[in-house]
Amino acid sequence: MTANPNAQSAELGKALDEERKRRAAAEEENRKLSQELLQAAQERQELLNLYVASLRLHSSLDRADVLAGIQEIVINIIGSEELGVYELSEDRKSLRLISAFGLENDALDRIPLGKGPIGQAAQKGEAVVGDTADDSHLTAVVPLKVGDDLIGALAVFRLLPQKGGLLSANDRELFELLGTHGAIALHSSSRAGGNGSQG
Amino acid sequence: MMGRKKILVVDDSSTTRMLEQMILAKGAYQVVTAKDGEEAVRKARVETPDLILLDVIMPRMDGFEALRRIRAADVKTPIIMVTTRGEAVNMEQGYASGCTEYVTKPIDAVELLAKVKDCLGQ
Repeated sequence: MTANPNAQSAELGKALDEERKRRAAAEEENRKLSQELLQAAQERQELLNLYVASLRLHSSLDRADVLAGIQEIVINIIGSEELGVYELSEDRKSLRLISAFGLENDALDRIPLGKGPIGQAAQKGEAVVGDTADDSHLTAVVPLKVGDDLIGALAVFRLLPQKGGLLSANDRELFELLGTHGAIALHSSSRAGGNGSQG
Repeated sequence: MMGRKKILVVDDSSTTRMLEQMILAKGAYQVVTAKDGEEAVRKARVETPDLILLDVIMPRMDGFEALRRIRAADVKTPIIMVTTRGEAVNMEQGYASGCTEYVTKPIDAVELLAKVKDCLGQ
């Protein structure tokens, strides 16, 4: 019996179509898996950043070391080499610069509470991140609070060029961590009498 | 069974050393650390690591100088610069001084691990 060439051709075409569909489905599955893997890697990185930052902040009761830790987190994990850490004065009327990296503006040494973007954000007790509407290259102001009690502020200026001017969701989480855990670590080190104040 | 690859992590920031150690833990590497360029030059000879991750801005001796001294001592270990210095001129300086790869901070764990594996031929 001779096979019908037309029927054979139709069957071959059908098989090829099914193979194409299987391949397309496999490629789609691979694409989804790759995306999930990338997402998992991203989430792992973010958790790792937060974990390391938290560990660093609470690894010391020495005030200078806590301030160094805050600097290291901003420089190496968030990505900015211009920052200042401020402490609220005893009369609670001004912010005094106690630790800085890459700042050259003397006017930033002492800031009246409520004045300028740094003083205002501190007074309100609300972080301003990425939208400071200011020409001083200010990227973020994070009030340092122990509970509801303001003890100072962190000001972060220009980001590293490779950041492309962009803050990630993880950067914002790190700012939040610095505002709470950074404040607690700084407060604890001051109470423990570790090394006095700087600046 | 082959021994674990040894990686020398050099950075004056304890935050970065901790972060890199945790990233490398995923690859089951043995990690030794140094806090500045001088210690890096010494440990590059004494510890004979399979790979060095080297920061640039450090006290006492910066990463570029440490790199030059390590190469001058005929240590051919692959070296990845890991630094905040992301300008092209810095990268050129790194490669001219003998680094194998150049990675900028903030560290991307996936990128770093890929370069580590590449440098170790894994």
